[in-house]
Amino acid sequence: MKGDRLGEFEEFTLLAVCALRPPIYGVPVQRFVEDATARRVSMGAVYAALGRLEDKGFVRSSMGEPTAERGGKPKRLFQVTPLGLRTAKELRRVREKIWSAIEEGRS
Amino acid sequence: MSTDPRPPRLARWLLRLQPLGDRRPEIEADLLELFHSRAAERGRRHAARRYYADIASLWRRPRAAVNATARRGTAGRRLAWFFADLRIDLLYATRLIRRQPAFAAVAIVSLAFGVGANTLVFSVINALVLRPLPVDRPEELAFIQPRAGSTMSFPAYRDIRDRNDTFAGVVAYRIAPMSLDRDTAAARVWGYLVSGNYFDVLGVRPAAGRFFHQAEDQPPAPSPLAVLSYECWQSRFAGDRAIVGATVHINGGTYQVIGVAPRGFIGTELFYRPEVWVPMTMQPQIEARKSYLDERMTRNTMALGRVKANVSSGAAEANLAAIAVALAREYPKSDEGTSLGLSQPGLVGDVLRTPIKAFTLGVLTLAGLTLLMACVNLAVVLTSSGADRRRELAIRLSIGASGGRLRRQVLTETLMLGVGGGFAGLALAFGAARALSAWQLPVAVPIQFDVAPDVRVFAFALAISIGAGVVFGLAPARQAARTDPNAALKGFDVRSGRPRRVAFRDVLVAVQVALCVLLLAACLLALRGLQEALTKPIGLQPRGVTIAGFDVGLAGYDEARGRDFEQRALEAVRQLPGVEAAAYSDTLPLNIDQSSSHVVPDDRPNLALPEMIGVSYYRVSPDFFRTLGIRLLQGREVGPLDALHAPAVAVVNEAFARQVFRTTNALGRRFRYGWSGTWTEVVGLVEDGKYLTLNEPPRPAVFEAIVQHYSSTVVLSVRSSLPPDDVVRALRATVARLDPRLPLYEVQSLESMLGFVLVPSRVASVALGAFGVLAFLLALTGLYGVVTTAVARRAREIGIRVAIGARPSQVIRLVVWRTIALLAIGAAAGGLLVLGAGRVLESIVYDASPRDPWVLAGVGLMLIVVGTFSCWAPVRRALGVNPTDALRSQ
Repeated sequence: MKGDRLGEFEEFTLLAVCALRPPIYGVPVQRFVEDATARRVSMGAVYAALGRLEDKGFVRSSMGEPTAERGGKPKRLFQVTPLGLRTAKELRRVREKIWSAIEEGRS
Repeated sequence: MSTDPRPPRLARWLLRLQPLGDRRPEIEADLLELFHSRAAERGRRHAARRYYADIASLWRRPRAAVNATARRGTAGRRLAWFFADLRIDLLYATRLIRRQPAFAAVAIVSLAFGVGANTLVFSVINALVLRPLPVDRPEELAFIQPRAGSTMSFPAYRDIRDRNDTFAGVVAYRIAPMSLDRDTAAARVWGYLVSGNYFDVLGVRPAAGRFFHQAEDQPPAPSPLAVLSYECWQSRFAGDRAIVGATVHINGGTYQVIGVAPRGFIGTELFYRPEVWVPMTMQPQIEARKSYLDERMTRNTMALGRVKANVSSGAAEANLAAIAVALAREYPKSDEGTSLGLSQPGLVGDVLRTPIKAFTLGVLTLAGLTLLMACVNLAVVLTSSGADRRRELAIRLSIGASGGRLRRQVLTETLMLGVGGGFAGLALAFGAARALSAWQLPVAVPIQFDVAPDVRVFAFALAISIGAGVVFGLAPARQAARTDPNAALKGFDVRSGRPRRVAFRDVLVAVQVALCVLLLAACLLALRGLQEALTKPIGLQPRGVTIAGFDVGLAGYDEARGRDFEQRALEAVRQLPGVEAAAYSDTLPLNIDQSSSHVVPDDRPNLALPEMIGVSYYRVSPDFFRTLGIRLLQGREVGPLDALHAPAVAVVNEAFARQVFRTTNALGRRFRYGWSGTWTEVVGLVEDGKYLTLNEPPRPAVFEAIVQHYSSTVVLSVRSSLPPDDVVRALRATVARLDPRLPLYEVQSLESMLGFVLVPSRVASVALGAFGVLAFLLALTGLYGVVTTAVARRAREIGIRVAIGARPSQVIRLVVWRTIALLAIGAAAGGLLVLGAGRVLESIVYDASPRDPWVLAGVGLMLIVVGTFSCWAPVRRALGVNPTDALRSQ
C-alpha cells in the first residue's frame, strides 16, 4: 500500500484533475492522461486511480445533474481538494529541486 | 447523438455482467461517450476495440467497483470479491489447461462423449415422454383409457362426450389409411378420422381456410370435408392457396378441402404424422366397410378429453367411472365390466408410454454411469497429477491461501473443463438428434419422432455438465486443501499424517473398474441378444421373397370386385418371369399390422373368456406356405378347393396344437372364435414362427383361407430367383396394368420389412455397444494413469531395491500387485452390480442372461486386457530404473 503517497499513474490523474476545467469526470480525465502520456489508458485504470485519490482525500466527487445528452445518466464530477492541490505542488517542488541539482551538477 | 453507432451487443452484454453497483449509470454513460467520440475520430472498429478493452479493465481492477459498492454494505462487497476471485481462478484454470493440454483434451473429449450420450438419450425422452401435444393448453388434455387396451366403441365415446360434466370437450379419433389424389395418380396417405369438435376442443388455428365443426359431423348427413396437414399442403400441393375450396378424391369419393392445419400440428399422437383429417361420419366411405358408429361391440375409437379448468383429474376420473357404471347397466352385453381411466395423451395413452419410458430410463441410467465413470477417471488423473502441481498448491498454501480457497480453485478448473466438455457434448448430441429426427422407420406408416432439442434439453445438458465438473473436482479439491506445504515444497510425496494403506485414489479406481464391468456386461448382453435375434429361426425363409401391399377398398372396390381383383393380381404375378411361387394374405407375420383373437377348442366349447387362448390369425391364399418358406409338418395347405361356401378350414402351428388342443396331432380337430361363430376344421400343421416380436414365447397362430374371410387389404408375396429390385419393378408394372389408380405400399423385399422388427434390438445394441466401448477405454486410461504415477512416485524406492539386489520378478510384483488387487475388488463389486441390474438389463435386451458364459468370458478378457495394458509400460519403466539416477534425482 502506498499510504498517502502517490504512484505515477495516480499522480498523472491528480494533475489531470488540477489541469482540467469543469466539468471534470471520467472521460476528460482519461483523454487528458492518454494525450499527455501518449500511452493507452483504460477507463478501469482511471476509475481505480480516482477512487484511490478520493480515499486519500486528494480529490472529492459529487454527482452531477443527469443530462439528456448522456441518455439521462449522471456524471460523477471531481474536484481537487486543498490537500490534493498542496500535494501536487509539493511533488512539483521536490522534482524541481532534484532537477536543479541535476542541472547544476552537469554544468 | 441518436444516429450514432452503438457499441457491439456482446460488449454491452459483458458490461451488464460487471458488478458496478450504484456506479453503473455514470460508468456506462462515460464508456458510451468515449465510444462515440472515438468512433467519430478513428472509426467504429477502433472504438469497439477500445470499448472491449475498457470493459476488461473494469474486471481487472475490481477494487474500483469494490470501493463504490462497499459503501452499500457487505453483501455487495462480498459479491465484488467473489467476482475478483473468480477472475483469478479462471486465470489459473486457463493456465493449467495451457500447461497440460493433453489432460485438458482427454477431459473435454471424455466429458463430451459422456454429456453427449446423456443429452441425446434425454432429448429422446424429452420428445417421447415429456413433450406435450402441439395444441393450446396441452396440460388440460387427458387420454380417456379403457382398462383393457386403448380404444372404445364410438357410441361409448358419444355417451362420455354427452354425459360428463367435468370435461370442456371430448374428441374421438382413429388412424386411417387413405388414397388421395387430385386428377393424378393416387397416393396412399395416412390420416385421421376425427369427431367434428376435434379442432375446436384442441384449440388450434388453421394456417389457411377453416376447420370443420361439430355441426358438420352429424349423421346421417354425409360431410365430405377434408383438412390437410401443413406438410401435405406444402409437399403435395406446393403450398397452393387455391387448394382451399378445391375438391380432391379420397378413396374414390369427392371431398372438399376446407383448410390447412398449422405448421407443426401433428394431431393427437406424438409419433404419427397424418396428412389428412376427415370427419368421423365419413367412416363407412373412408374405411370401405360397414359403419360401426352405432356399433357397441366394435371398439376402435380413441378418445381425448380437455378437463375443465377448475376440475381436478381425480374428479374427472370419478365422473368417468360413474359413466362407465351407467353404461354397463344400460348395455350389459357390450359394456359390462368397462372401466375408464385417464392417462397422459400422445402415446396411445399408457400403451406405448410405459414400455418406452422403461426402456429410455434404463438407457439413461447406463448413460449416466458412463458419465460418472468419465468423471471418476478425470478425478483419478487430477489427484495423481505431477509434482509441479502439488508444489504450486503448496506455495499458495504457505503464503496464506486458505484450504477453502484452494478447493474453490480446483473446482473452478474442473467446472471449466466440465462446461467445455458439455458444449462439445451438446454439439455431438445435436448432430445425432438431427440424424435421428430425419430417420424414418422402414414401414408404411408415417412413424417419426421429432427429437429436436429444446430449452429443456439445453438445461439438462448444462446441469449435467456442471454436475460432472463438480463430481470430478470434489476429490482433487479435497486433496488440494489437505496438501502439506512443508513436505510438498521439499519435494517429498508425503501426505499429512500417517500414510494410509488405502488411498482415496485407489477407491476411485476400484469404483471405475466396477462401473466398467457393469457397462461392458450390458454391452455384451445387448450384442448377444442381437446375435440371438438375428440367428434365431423365425419360422419362414425371407431370402428371395418380395412383397407389395395394396388396399382395394382405397380404390372404392366393393367386396365382389375386390375378390376378383385380388385373384386377377395373383394370377398376373404368377405369370411373371422368374417367379417360383406367389400368394397373398391379409398381412404377414412380424408385419406391423397384426390381428389376434380368442379361440375355443371343440372339446371345451364353454370356456370362460379369461381361459380362452389368444391366437394370431392370418388369412392366406393357396401356396402361401411354399412362397414364404414355412414348413408344413402334417396335413395339407389351404387349397383352391376351400372356396367361399366350402367348409371352413385352417392350418395351425405347433403352439396352437399344444396350447389349444393339448396334443401334437391336431388334424381334424375343430375350434371357433369366442362363443359364437362357426367351427373351423384344422387341415394342416406348420412349424412355429415369430409373429409379433422376435423375443416372444411360442405363440399360437392360425392360417385360414382368405377366400372364406374377405380382406380388402392384402399383401402379395412373391418368391423369385431374380434380384428384389427387378421383382419390385415388375410387381408395380403388373398391378398398374390392372388398375393404374390403385396405390401400392410397402413394396420391398421381405428381408427389409423384417429389418423393422430388429429396430429395437439394433438401437439397443448400438447404444449399449457405444457405452461399452467408452467404458472400456475409460477404464483402460484410468488404470494406466494410476499405475504410471504410482511407479513414478516409487522410482526412488525401486531404485534402492534394485541397488540392493532386487530381482526383476520382485520389482514386477511390487508394481503389479496393487493393480491386480484393485482389478479384483472392482470386478467383484461390478459383478454384484451386474446381478443387481440384471432385471433392468433384461427389459432392454432380448432373452440374454447375465450368467451367459460368453458375457462372463468377455468381461474377464476385458479385465485381463485392461490390467496388462495398464501395467505394461509402467513395469518396463520400473525395470529400467537406474539405481544411481533414481537416487541422485532426489
